Amino acid sequence: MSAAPATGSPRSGGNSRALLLMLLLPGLAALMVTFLLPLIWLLRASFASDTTSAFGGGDVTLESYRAVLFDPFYWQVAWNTLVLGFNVAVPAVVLSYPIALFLTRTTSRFRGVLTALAVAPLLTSSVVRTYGWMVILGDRGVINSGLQALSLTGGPIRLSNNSLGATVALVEILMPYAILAMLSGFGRLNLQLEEAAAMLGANRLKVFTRIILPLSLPGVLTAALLVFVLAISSFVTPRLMGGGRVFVLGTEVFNEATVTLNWPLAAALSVMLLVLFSSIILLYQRALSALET
Amino acid sequence: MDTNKRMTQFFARTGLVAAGLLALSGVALAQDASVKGTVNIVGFSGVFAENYQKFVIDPFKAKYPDITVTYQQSKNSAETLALLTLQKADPKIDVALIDVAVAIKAAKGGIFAKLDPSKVKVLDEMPAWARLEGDQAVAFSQDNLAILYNTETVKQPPTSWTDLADPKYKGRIAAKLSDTRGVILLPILDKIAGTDYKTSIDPALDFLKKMAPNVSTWEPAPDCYAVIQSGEADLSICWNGRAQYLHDTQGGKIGVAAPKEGSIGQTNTIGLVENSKNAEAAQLFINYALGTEAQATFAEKSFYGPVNTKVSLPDAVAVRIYGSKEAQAAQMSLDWNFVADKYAAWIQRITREVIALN
Repeated sequence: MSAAPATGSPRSGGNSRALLLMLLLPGLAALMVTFLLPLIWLLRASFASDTTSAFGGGDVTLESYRAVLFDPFYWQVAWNTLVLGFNVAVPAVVLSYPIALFLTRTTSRFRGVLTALAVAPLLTSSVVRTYGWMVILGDRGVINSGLQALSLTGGPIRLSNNSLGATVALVEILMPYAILAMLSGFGRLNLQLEEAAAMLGANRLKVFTRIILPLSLPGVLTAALLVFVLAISSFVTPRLMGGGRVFVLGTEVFNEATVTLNWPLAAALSVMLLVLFSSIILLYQRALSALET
Repeated sequence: MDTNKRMTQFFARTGLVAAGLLALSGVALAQDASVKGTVNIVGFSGVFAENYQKFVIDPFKAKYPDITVTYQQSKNSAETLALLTLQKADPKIDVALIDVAVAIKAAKGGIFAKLDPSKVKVLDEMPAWARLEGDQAVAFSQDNLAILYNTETVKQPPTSWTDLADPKYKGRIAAKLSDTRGVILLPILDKIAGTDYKTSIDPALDFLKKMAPNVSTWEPAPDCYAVIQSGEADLSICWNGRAQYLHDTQGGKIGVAAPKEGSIGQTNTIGLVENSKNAEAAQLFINYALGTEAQATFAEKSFYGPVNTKVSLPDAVAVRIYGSKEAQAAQMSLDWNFVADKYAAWIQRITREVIALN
């Protein structure tokens, strides 16, 4: 403690700022190369007139944007994407909340192990877990054969190859992210406040609705945003679980890029997804900071 | 280096007595040895790559020991096109094997060079429909679209494309149609309805709408063969060549029904990359790959139909590539220039009018 200010005080003002900048430089350079440059390239590609040559050949044109923005199909796809994001985010947060709350409050000596278990699914690829869900939800999957064995249903009920299957799989796949986000967001929860409320006569429900819920809300909202963003940018799970019936921006970008080879259009759709992202995150951050003040 | 070694061996074996012979064979050698270098190929992956290596590249190398051939696998033609486009200024690839629709797009984008008919003499033996964009890409194989069925659950295999709309298959068909499979199926269904695909594809789309309730998935995962193998679907619309291979290697669980109305092949093309540094050797290879010997062997081993008109297949092979005599007679080929132009539009119509509404 005593030594720190002594070494710290001579380096103040511009000197430390320069140091800070130098420390930031490698990170900024890495971001530039891995993130900003590809993004600029993507932008350029979306304005390319030449669909036969890849990566932004030909003149600059708004043709791809015209094709995307004036086609009701893509608006429908954008809407589907938002609906999927919402349908995934809400159940994922609702299901993760009790787990995260338990993990925050438990005094069990297994707490570390339990936390690790909760996020362990992240160790396997989401492709593998999607295939797992296909085995469970397929026409001849665990659930359908179980139901038929119990004579509860005559034929298979369609649980996969549609948006239901995609939603269910995405909820499970994204839950660990929600739990992680909530765990880090639940720092404001305070046992003493709850005890005080109970002492003043609040029952357990009231303690939850008046104390725990408001204090945990920022964590919940962060988790919801994270899951939402991951869900609307997801591609593998909607494609594999959707049976081709789930049209979201991710799958459309893939089709335009690999099947019809219209790279400028794929780039324009990606930009549309990006704009959607950023505006949602922006609005959300505004709402969040309004909530916190 | 290889040549030196062979020459030393040659001297050792024959000695100076054969000096006269040497002069003679020297001429013969010079003809082959005049073309040296490397041919770098990019093409399809998996079983195709194995077969192509074994039945086209290896025999070629035996014939031309001074030419090195490398084969780079690519996941799909889109990836190949991306690779070729990136290398446009300084190509590392000399020959590309690529889907016909992508090949036409690539040729229009200046990726491929026109083949020299004096070097690729076998061009004379290729049908007109196979020589695309002024010989910038030439079709070398056709893999027929077929109906695959699970031999355990389907006792009476379908015989006609129209069986796909039979209500008894409700929810039992896996059909990926938002790609070349759909683009090939449309002209087949049009023909059955008595329409020319150049006039209208509405009749074909009408049939697909009737078939739609039978389809459980439009996006079979991992692919259209595995869903039959696993019993997840009874029928699937997919490529003959790989299905025949899986039939032989995976215990016959996949059966192939070649519909009597005939089919159309997914056409693969070969092209010489523009500004290739090994154009000479590359064209020698292309000439071999399109020749009767390579075409016949590759067809027999991979069940991909040959394109060279001089190739005649044994009956047993023809049946497994094209189906019955009736189906063989009904086999169609497409005007790929026309189809490549409509490719995206047709897929869009299948996607929006059939898949999205079902």
